[in-house]
Amino acid sequence: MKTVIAILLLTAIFSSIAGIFWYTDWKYSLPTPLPKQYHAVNTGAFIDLKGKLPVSGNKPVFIHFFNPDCPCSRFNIPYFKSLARQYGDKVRFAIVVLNNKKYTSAEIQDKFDLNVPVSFDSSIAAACGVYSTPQAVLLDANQRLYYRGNYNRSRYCTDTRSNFAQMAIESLFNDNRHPMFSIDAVKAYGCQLPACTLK
Amino acid sequence: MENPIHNALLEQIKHKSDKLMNYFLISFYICGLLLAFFYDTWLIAVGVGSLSLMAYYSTKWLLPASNAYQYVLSVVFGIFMAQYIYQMHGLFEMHFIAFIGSAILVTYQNWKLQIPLALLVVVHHASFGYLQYIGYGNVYFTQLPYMTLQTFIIHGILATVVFFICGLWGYQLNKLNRRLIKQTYEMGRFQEEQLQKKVLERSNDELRKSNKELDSFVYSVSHDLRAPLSSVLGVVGLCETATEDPFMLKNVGLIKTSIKKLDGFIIDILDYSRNSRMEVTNCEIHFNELLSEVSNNLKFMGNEEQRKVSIRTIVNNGDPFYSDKSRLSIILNNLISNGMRYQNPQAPDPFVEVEVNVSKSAASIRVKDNGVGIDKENHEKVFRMFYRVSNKSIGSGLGLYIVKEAVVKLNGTISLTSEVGKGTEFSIQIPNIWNTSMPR
Repeated sequence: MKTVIAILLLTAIFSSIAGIFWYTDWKYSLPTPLPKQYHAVNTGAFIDLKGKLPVSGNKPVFIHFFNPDCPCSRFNIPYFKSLARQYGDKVRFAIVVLNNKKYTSAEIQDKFDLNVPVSFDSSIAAACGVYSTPQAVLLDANQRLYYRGNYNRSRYCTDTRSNFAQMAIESLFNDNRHPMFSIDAVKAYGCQLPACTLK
Repeated sequence: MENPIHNALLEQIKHKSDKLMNYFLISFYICGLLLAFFYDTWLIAVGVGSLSLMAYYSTKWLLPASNAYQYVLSVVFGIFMAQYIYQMHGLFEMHFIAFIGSAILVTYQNWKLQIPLALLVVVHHASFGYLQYIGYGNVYFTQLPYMTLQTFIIHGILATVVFFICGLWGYQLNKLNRRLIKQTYEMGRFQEEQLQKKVLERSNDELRKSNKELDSFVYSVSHDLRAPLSSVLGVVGLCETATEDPFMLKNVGLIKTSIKKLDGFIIDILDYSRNSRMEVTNCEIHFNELLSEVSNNLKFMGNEEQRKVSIRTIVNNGDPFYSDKSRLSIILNNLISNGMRYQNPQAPDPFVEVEVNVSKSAASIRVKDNGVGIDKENHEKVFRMFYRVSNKSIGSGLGLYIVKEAVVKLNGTISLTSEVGKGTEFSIQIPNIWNTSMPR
């Protein structure tokens, strides 16, 4: 009798464990819900940074939208670093921190171990149509929106076939005027703004 | 070998290991909580961690006698590995948790405990690998360039080797422990046996010594008693010749009878003492001579009013017979005198018949009489020391006991058949020593 109870109990427990894994995975796989007052910004639109980021010049600009409290953002740090190292001479990189807490530029630069401009102005996100973190925005030399979307289909950023942000940079330099990105790339995944809430 | 000591020790190992597991499991749980800080995986850390602990402790609580909970523990280690990997979003190093779990399980000294953990790892990788292979939406395995299929296979083989080795250590430890316990157990038993043997030997020596002392005491006392008795008998004889008073003569006769009886008793004791004290000698026996000696000695035995008993001897002397002459003499003397003493007054012709058949291996002696006979229930008892069939018995109660002792000393056997009123027959087998020790 006790054996039967033990077997039933164990089955229930192990099923629950599998359930928790599945539920977490499912939750992470959901796209970030659209905010209520969201103004869509289409690719090709001119983004006026109005000097909010010290990135003037005739180089393309790559803006990383980052929230220190967002697990996805945190996980993405090494990947962004590798992009900045790889394309730093051709593209200007910048970080926009979307968080209500007080951080200094130096703290953020420390996290990434990169000397890139850091802004805390959330209006940049609105201007680019960004409503989640981590998100990548690539502006061409004319400050027109070339790409806005995810870094990778995989949350682990390990699927080389879906390195969307990197592909966007490559595409830009190959002078591809109208790149096509899959829905996986442009549908925003990750944490909602401004605080890290997955829902 | 299964013995209580061994089981107790295994129980102790189990108990200690269980105690250790409490600490390990708590540490695993806390590690999960710490990992949750990285990517806010609190639901996983608390949910999966708690459920794992629940699985282990509930099994242990429900089935404390079986070791099912140890197998659950093996699975739980696998789940913790999965949990950590998940919490660190596929951080490859977290796979090493499986090896930590595998190493921890060695403490139970049961190689089979590695199986659930290994199975979990294999099934997990195989199923997720398959899902990825068929192109199911999410990516499970890292696709970093250095993670080729070859690397995966090597990792798999190495993991298998780790599980195998940990299983092997568990098995070896168990075997070693069993052997150690067995050795300790046998050593203890051996020491105890040695001690017992020593004690036994010592008490044996003491017994032998005191027995010897007792024997020589009995011998010297008996011997010393006989001398004054002979003197008394001599003096009584003188008195007998010096008087003609019938009253005196009657009393002197009674004294003489009593002295003779006492002397016979002392002779019996001396015979017994000699038999137990003296080594078995070895010389050729001529039964004809021996029997005539014995019957001559017995001629003057008994009271005058008793009828004369005829002693018949039949000797079939085939082979030379070697044995102890004095003991044979004691045996025959006692048996024949018993036959003469307990004659049946109703029988017309009282006799004692001795038949001896000598062969290469043994002499079989039959002493038969037509006396009063012995009750069946007394057949065994007559060979006991100081046992007398009835109060009317004249002897010391030692005769047949000495006969039996002497036969035993000669490695022989004795038995009797008897019927009350018809007679008694003793059958004796005495081995021929010539057959075994003398050159042929």
